[in-house]
Amino acid sequence: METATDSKPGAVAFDRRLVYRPFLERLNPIASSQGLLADGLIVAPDHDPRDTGEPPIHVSLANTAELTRGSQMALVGGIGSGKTTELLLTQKELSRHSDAVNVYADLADYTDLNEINPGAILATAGFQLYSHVCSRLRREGRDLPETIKSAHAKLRELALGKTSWIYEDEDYDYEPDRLVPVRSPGVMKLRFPALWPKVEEIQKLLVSIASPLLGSEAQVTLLIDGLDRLITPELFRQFAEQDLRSLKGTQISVIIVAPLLFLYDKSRFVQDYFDVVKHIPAAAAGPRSSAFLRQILERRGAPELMDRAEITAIAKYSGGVLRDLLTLARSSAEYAYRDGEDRIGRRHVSAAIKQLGNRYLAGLGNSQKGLLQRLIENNEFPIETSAAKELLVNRQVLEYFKGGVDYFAVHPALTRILPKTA
Amino acid sequence: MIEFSATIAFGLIRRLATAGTDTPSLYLLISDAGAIPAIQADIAAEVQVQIGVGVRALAPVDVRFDDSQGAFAPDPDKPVTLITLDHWLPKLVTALDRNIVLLTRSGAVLLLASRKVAERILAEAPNLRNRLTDVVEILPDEAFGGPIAWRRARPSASRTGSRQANGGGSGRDANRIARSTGTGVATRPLTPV
Repeated sequence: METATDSKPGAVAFDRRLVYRPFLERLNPIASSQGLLADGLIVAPDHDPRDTGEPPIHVSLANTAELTRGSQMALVGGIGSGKTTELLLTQKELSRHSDAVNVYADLADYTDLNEINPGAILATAGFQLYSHVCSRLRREGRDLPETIKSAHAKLRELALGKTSWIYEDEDYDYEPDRLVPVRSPGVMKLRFPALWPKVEEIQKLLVSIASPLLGSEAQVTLLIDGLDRLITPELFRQFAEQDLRSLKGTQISVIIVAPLLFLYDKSRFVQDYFDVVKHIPAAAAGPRSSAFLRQILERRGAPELMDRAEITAIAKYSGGVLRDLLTLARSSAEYAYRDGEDRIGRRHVSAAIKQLGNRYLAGLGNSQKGLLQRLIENNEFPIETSAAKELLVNRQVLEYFKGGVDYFAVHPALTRILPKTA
Repeated sequence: MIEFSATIAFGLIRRLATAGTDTPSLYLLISDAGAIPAIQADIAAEVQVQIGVGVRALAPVDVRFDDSQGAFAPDPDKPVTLITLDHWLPKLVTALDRNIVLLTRSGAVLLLASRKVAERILAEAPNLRNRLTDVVEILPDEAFGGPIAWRRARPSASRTGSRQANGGGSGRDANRIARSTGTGVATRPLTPV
């Protein structure tokens, strides 16, 4: 497309915005996954990342939810590894059955994750299932039973709190000016209060609300996102022990994303508690995974703006972290745009890699750099230490699985700049 | 401190305008603590001039996640949110980190922080860091002769031309911008867009 942009009379120049802007929009690493799925921009993996002979994670999780009602599954992976995308692909897979009730919820949409307490998962599920029940009954021309209405009202009260208006003194004559509000904080602080003593009560309300769905043969699956951002296994564990345990025996299946550190927790809680645990490692460099990473870029229009060499370099230096893949491609495009180029070149990709490497380098002390050097030079990485776990959580070190073997490696963008600074 | 690519409010807001302010983006802007007020003013002015909207400026006390209709509800009149963190607030940074998805749904969010605070954010808020669109060092416009001052002197000339005429600023800062973006701002004309 051409448009007049030059100041010279009659000159016609190429308006690069019209090429770069759609590309940048498709590459937004923080775009809504739902939107990307709807736009067909998600490349679904064709096998389990840990076993090429097994179906992809989303298919396995959906199969388990369909065949074993009430099963509880955990999806574990590092930041930016594509957990939300897998969850949404699972939801899509589950939707192949018209009677399936699938509830996806990112808890950050419902509560302040910094103040969250046990009971929040149940309350969120209760609100979502209430909406499903209302819609279903409306479609069927049936009234909402009183028991469900009252259970929902009680759930709201427990989850959101209430304000009563009382008289300041004991004068019982009606005088509106003398009414003062009294906040009952008992169950509800902020959007969710310290609910854990009330977990059992909330579970009963949830089951009451869901009863029209559970009474039939329909499968109900909760897909819970966001709690992996709590990072530490101890915090997450409270929810499993309170909310998820209370759902056992209800025939409601749960798929929940869990923090990566659970995999390296000595207690092996996640492996022992959940019926199924799926791990998304970073995509290791190799013909199959590199092809997967390239496909993601191609689906978003990369070949229009860069050659195969640049696509390959971006895939390599992303370390297989999907969000880094998009970040590198996007940054490269921005550098090329600012450089006045019509296509992304090697120097733009290099600048983007350096910028990403700098992000990972920021805040690293000498001891952490020492750990990284040991990993680079000797393949030693003491994962049992807190310093090593921090590097893993922060993605300076990535966990890979290849040829049946788990191993660690320094993020390639960081490796590229580390020797000059360590 | 690691050297990130440097820019001024003009360049940053130009990036936002290119991508479109309804596109979710999250920038960490690193600044000298003393320059923060000037940069806040520069950003507000550039957003007004280039995009024609106001900035939603949030102090740390305004950043709350206990109300879904609160600080991060999308506001079409103010699609650019500027949060200034001029000192280390661990509880706030943890809240930002855990509720990061809310920040990424309300247009462009700019986190302006002093060097020390920025470094700690990058080290201690992994969810946030992973979602950053970019990390840039932002310099006050005065370092480049100042667009406001320049506008006063030559109100009819183009702003792109002003930087070109000024050589994109002078001294170490201008050279850093030219080097870090690879654009040669100081020596070659900016491409019309």
